[in-house]
Amino acid sequence: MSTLLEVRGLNVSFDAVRVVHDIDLTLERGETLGIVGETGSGKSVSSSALMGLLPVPPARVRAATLSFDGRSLLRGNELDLRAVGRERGRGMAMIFQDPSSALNPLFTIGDVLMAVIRRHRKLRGTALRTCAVELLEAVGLPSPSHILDSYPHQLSGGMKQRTAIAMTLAAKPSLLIADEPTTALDATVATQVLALLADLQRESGVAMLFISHDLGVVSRVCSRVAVMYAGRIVEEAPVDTLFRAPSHPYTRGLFAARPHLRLPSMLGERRVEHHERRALLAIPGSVPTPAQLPAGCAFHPRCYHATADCNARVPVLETLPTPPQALTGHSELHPARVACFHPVLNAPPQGD
Amino acid sequence: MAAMPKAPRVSAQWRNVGRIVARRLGLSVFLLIGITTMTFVLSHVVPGDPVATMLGDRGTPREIARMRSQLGLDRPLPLQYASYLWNLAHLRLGTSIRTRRPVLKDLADYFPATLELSTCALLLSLALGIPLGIASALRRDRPLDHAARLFSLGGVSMPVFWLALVLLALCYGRWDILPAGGRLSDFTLPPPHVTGLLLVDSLLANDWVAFRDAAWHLIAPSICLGYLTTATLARQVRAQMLEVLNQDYIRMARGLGLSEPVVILKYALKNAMLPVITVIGLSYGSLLSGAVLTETIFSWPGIGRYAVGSSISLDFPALMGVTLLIAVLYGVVNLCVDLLYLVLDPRIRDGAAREIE
Ligand SMILES: Nc1ncnc2c1ncn2[C@@H]1O[C@H](COP(=O)(O)OP(=O)(O)OP(=O)(O)O)[C@@H](O)[C@H]1O
Ligand code: SF4
Ligand SMILES: [Mg+2]
Repeated sequence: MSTLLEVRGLNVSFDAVRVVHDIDLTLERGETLGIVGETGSGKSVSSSALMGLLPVPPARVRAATLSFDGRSLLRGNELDLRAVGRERGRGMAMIFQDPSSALNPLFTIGDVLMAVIRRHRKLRGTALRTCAVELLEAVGLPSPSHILDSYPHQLSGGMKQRTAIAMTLAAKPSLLIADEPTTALDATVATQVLALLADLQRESGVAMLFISHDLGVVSRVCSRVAVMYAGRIVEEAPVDTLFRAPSHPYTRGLFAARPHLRLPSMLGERRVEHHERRALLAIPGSVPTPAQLPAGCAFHPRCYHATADCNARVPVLETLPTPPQALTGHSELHPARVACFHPVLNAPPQGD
Repeated sequence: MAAMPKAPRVSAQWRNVGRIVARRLGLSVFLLIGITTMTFVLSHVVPGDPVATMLGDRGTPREIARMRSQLGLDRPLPLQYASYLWNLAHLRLGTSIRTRRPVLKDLADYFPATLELSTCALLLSLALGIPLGIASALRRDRPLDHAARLFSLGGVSMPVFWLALVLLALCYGRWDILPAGGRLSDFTLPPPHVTGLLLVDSLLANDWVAFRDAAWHLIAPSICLGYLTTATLARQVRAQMLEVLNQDYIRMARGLGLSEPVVILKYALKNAMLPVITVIGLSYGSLLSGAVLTETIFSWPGIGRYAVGSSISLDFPALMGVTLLIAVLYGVVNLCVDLLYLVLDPRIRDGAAREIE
């Protein structure tokens, strides 16, 4: 596998308020990476920044390294909008959270879809229309030629998201960014769309950056997960590792909010201590606003493991010294990278 | 899986079109009745006797009385009103007290001048205001945007007569590159009367000399009249464009790698123009109502000057004719705006959204 996307030290600010801090991301060709975090943690901002879709100004996007498919997208250390513009569609494409607002209300599905095909596949005439029909079929839409002539308001939410997916596929991207593509949909429709995305990803081998606030959803599509908190990545690990041995207190809190997500092995292999369970039950407090970030580790006001040094320095993302298999007994687990001074190594939390 | 998309059939769409047109026409009738009643009442309660004004000092009481009964001014008001409405229904607008010609004929003479001028002014402001608004939105808070906004501020705050006088003083008085006023130069033979619009008539007659002369005369008053509309449009388009450019569907279009001109001029502009259409309709309506100041300063024989002349001499039939014409014009323009919405917005066509704000 070769590296498709390499991001080092990505920073995004709006009017001098920094919203995304020093994010590192690497995505291999065909790899699927999930980004998880509570609302306001900067998931959308960082992905939109990569696509060059933030309004500049007020947004300002900087990075130490930002390369896509070997080409740098920077001029100096600022995002080069022209360079990103060239990658959009063919290189990277994006699916939005709310399909109702992502489709232009005044144009037929066919109008936009065929514009994308014309642009990226250079087809004309009947071949163009046939291709459009095939794409709509590929995303599981019934009577595609009818849908081509429909306007967005004539389609249901699930159908809209499917057409949006078809539009991105039309560009044949090598990276697909999906920003909470199922959040706005009914549960059953969401499951179908998720399955569709997972299938398409497997068939086409497109790399995917899948954003969600739901660990369960991410685990169905992605092989690796990055957890974001207050504009930083606080933990990054393969799905297996993250689910068996979440190490950052915040990640643990996320799992606590979705208790059924914990793998049976994780619960069965050891007794969950009473006070740890209490610590996991919920994350107290709420996400800080970017303008008023706590000093040091931004999580410290909500963290059960915080000590005095936590609000003195910002922890950086580091590979855990202890291999996780020692903790859970699974030999093939790859280690996680965690930004925390006191990662939880499956020992009872300190204090209390 | 999911059902067929629920696109209303074409016949259903046309039913919607019919419903909207019928509703609008019905409203217009009520509007017209209301407006005629109001002008009728107003014009009959104002102090002053049009006949006395007409005959001046020379009118003896007997002469005045004879004139009054000749004009039907001695009959009871309700009767006058009833016969007025009856005549209206037959397109008999009465005879102007001032010009002693049928009001309809007067309007037919004066209105084309206004129509030509306001259409030119509107086209000018569309051609300038829309690109300016787009450019301003795309270069938000950069020098171009500031310049455009300053220009717009001038348009909405500068008195029209002042702009007209400055234009005249410079372009006629100092540089002598534009005429002082009127629709044609003294030595230009007017083209044969077909529509009353000199540009159209001269084209029909293949008379390029008259065409050029008419266009030359239109420049200054069009600028003068169109500046405010240009400014309004530029502001509106800028605001709408900024709003639309922030929408997900535009980010989606960009994210799909569609070229920037296509995204802006096709996918964004159509959405941004939707609310602006109403503004354009209103502006055109007010332009068509005659610009008294502009027409006066540029000696433009339009409906605005006709209205002023009529009010000075308390010429009720003429005034009511003008009012009626303006009401009809507003109705027609509004109907066109509504139809345009039907053409442009599939949601309204489907009756999914009744109205856009
Ligand atoms: N255009 C903007 N101008 C100023 N601040 C912004 C802008 N867009 C986002 N932000 C701020 O950036 C922070 C991160 O927002 P972002 O939308 O990335 O969150 P998110 O993780 O995607 O949350 P969600 O789950 O709700 O989508 C928020 O605090 C938000 O207020
Ligand atoms: S660094 Fe400290 S405050 Fe931050 S998550 Fe780790 S223990 Fe908690
Ligand atoms: Mg988001």
